[in-house]
Amino acid sequence: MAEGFFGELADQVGYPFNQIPVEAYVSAAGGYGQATLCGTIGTAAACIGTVCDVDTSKKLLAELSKWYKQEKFPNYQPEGLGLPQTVSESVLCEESVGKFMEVSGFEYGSAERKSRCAAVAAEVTRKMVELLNAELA
Amino acid sequence: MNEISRKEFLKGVGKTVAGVTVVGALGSVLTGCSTPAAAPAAAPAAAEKPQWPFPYKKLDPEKVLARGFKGYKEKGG
Repeated sequence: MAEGFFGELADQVGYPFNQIPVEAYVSAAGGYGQATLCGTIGTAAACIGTVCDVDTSKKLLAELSKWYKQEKFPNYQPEGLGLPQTVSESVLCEESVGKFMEVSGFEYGSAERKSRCAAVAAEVTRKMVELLNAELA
Repeated sequence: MNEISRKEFLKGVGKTVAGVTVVGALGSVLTGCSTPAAAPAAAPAAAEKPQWPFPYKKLDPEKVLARGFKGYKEKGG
């Protein structure tokens, strides 16, 4: 998420986006290591809040979260793993990843689970950019 | 498929986080977090506080999709 958004803006716009360390958002993974809020949604809140005023941020984050809860993930599977899709019905990592693990049989530490979450992060980044493009550009 | 309990799920996340912690601890020996002592004495002249919100530029959704995936796989998070 942070690499896709801030990294792209750093390349295209430069300052001040090139001052944001994307590595600061890596610890969001695994629901901030506590299986709580999906790190992609938390990082999206930071990304949106960097380029939008408070009211717009709240509106877009609510829209993104609503979409997240209803979306079948993962759609984007560039590695061709054929991962099963699940609907989280929640923005909590425990629910989102837990349902995938339950349906797929893959453990949390598996490469497949990591690919699934990479796809979720990528798809949420794309959706967030679509919302921002419509709202700001 | 068996239902995964919250306890089991947290255990899985915990193992990964513990691994990161160990790697992080080892990494800190080599690189460490930045400290006041390691920071430059004076901020560079160009480091002016940017006006918020930062200026957004329309991005290509498909490009950020691919970059977001690659970023997660390579850097995590």
